[in-house]
Amino acid sequence: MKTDKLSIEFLKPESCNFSFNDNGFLVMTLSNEPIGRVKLIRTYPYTLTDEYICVHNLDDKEIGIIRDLKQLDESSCECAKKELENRYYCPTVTSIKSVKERMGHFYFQTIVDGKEKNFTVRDITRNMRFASGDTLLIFDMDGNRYVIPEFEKTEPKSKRLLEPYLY
Amino acid sequence: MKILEILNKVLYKLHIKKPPRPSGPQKEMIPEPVREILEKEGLDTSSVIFSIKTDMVSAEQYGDNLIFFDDKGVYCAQFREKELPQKQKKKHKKPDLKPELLKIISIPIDEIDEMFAEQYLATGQLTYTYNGEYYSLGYFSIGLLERADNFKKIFNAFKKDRSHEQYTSIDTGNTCHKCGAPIPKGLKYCKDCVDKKSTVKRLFSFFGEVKGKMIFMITAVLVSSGINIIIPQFSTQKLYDDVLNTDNTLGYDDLFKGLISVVLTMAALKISQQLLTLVYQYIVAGILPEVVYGIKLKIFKAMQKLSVGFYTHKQTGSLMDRVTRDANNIYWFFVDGFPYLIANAVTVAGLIVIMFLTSVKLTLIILFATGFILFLYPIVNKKFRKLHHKVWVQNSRLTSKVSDNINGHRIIKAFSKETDELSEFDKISSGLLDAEIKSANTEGTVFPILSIIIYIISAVVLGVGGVMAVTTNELTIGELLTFVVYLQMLQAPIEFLSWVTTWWARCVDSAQRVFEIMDTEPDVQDKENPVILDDFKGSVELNEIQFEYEPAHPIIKNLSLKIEAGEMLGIVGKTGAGKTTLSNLIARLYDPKEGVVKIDGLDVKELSSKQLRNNIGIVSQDIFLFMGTIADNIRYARPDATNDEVIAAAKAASAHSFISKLPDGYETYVGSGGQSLSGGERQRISIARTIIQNPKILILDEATAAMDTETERNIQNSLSELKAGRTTIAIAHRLSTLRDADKLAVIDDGECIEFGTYDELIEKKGAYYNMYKLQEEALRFIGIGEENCDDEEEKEKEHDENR
Repeated sequence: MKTDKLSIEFLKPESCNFSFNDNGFLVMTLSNEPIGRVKLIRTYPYTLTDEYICVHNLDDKEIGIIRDLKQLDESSCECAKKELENRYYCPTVTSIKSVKERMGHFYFQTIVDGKEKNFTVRDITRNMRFASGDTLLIFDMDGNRYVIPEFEKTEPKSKRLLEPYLY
Repeated sequence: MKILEILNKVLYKLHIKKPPRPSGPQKEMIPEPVREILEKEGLDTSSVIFSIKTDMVSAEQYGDNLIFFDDKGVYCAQFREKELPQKQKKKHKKPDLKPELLKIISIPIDEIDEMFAEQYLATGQLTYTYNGEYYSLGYFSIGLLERADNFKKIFNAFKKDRSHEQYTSIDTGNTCHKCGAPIPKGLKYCKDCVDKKSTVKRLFSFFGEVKGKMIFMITAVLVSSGINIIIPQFSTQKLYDDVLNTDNTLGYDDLFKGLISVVLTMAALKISQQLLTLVYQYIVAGILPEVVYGIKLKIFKAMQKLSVGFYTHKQTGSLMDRVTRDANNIYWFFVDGFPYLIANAVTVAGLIVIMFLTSVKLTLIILFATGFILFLYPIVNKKFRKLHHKVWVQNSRLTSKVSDNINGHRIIKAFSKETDELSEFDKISSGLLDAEIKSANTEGTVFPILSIIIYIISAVVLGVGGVMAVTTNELTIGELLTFVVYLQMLQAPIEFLSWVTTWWARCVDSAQRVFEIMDTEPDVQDKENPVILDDFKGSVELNEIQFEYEPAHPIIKNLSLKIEAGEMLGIVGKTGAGKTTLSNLIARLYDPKEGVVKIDGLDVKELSSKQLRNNIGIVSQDIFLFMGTIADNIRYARPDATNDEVIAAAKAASAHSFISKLPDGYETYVGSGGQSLSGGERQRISIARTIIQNPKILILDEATAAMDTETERNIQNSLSELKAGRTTIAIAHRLSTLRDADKLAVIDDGECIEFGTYDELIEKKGAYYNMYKLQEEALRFIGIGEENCDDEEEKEKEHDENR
């Protein structure tokens, strides 16, 4: 099979326009035709955050894929990036104060986005794992997700507290 | 009672006992301090219908938000928690917080058409529509999705026809069963209320039946340890001071007698000690397998009671761990830990007492040195735990890689990826090698250092003691040497006691996990006195069913269907449309979130699950054969089925011909490690298993999907006979499978979009007609199934003629 047969058709950047409506929701016009509210989806959420972005309508039907947000006009690109930031916002753990194990549950005292946050993790080897490269994900018992974007660069105490439970 | 209340008040005042917190999510629709603030703002909070406390004030910012509604509108109040000044700052005491209102937004109820709970990666948003436009109500972190979804449902039901009461009783708040504090999902108690003592008590209750033997064993351990302590008194002190002492003026005979007496006493003590050790080890070996067998049996029994949902949420590996690893953790602690814990504790206490009696000065030196070692050991242990964990993790990675490689060997060969696989294995393997080398190197360095420290202490003791013995005559040589022996005897018990706490913690953790399974209430439970139908006919009715596996992801939405007893219903629809979920709901493997499933006019929740499932046979697309012979598998539902019946069922399922060709026939061993069978063969055995069950309701979930057209036709014929007199629900992608159906239902995205007879649906020219046409074209295109198409065509012609 020739690989060029696997090429995909991207949305033409010049025909896509994104903006926020008065209520703060992202809306799209495609070839000057209003599509209304749309969802943007990262296909490579950790490594290519602004590339290969899927555009879905509210019924979750795919409208198309944008190869790179940079190809869009400046205003559209900014709006799309802002929307993706909101949609993919993940609380960042900046510091781990303590990790205490009690009866098989791990009680974390952390600083998340500058605020103190405590949460509980069960089955720690499964619920704390590297997503891609150096990005560490932590899932608590309530289903919340936290991220440490660059684990190697995190402060030594936090690293020391987490290392015993990591691969 | 009054006295008790007063006593409690005093205890609360003195902070000795915590006052009980209000429990239950409904008790506090609006928290009291917030209510006061809102009422000051002129809001009447007395008629609030439902509220949700969210934890985000914008898409990327944490903060406190209270969203609630009454019959006039929806309100979003944003708060900030302000720390109150304290008279005395106490360490570890949480500051007193007072909410401070930042802003409040109110939206009239008439300006909201519908509410939605949208899910993002780690957050969610409550939104609503008005005249086709979307508006935002507020953000929340993803852990609150279930609560937000419930809020949305309650609001929409209230808005639609005031039918919100059905939802308001749903307990979506997680609070500690004891103190009412908020806790993570899945926990019963907060970490302050987890009663470690009760876990220990329950753990020891496993040994209740062997109480007598336990007491005997502990006595044997105590006596054995006692003897161990007094042995050096004879082997060293008496030997040196009474026999070998050069100052002795006794004659040769007396010295010889003394020597014989020391040797005989030592031998007698050592033999008694060994006999007692033998006795307690014999008792331990007898008791523990029995206790562990009991624990495993109890876990397995508890697991059988649990509903399907529990298995879906827990990974199989974690459940297997509970039956095997956790039970073994408990086992090993009690085999290897518990007897030695008693022995070592008694030894340490006894040694210290004797050492004090011999020399207070030297004992104090030793206790000081022991304190230093006790401080050192936990640090060393912690380091080793980390290193061992790393080795364990690398080992697990290696095992997973090997297992992946073995399971995927065909794909690896097909893609010619052997070299890549080898290099990946090499990478993981060298990771393990590094971890093992590091662990071994550290162990090789740290333990000799620890030994050196202990030898230094011994040397100090010997030196100081020697000086005391020579200069002040405070100690005899025998006492000094006994002291050194005691010091060496202390080393092992102290080392043991320093890490036994970790072992004990692991054992209690395992016990806690085991109790979690035992204490889990199944989602699907029988009523206290379930109805047992005298005559199970098999009519099925689904009334406005709604179901979701995960919050805010409905799989079935308001679905209603009715099938009379003895009828056949065909269910068609795209993959993921909710067809299999529907069959799970009918068999009550799950309960619907809303709506009712009725069998013979009665809610399935009223019926006995045993009778229900005995009368429902499922041939699923997931074929599972248990370990055992083919005959065992066929008679799984009815172990008393005769050999004749087994063969008859196999014949009806078109399985007999291939089974009889197997060298071991019906006694062929299948399942894990048994004879490998093709997908079609396994499916035919599973059909035979259902045929022998003789159910009143037969659910065929893609039963013939894995078979060729001819086999499918044979099985269809067999099933046609089987269907007589039973209600049949057949789920299929191939429409030809459903040609005998009395009624057809087309399911799309959890909804029944078409329902009727074949004729009605063809005439309607809707979704079923389109699917039928598409399949017909596809079959014609690939040049197979023309026979089937002809059948369908004939049917269509017949239908047209009738028209």
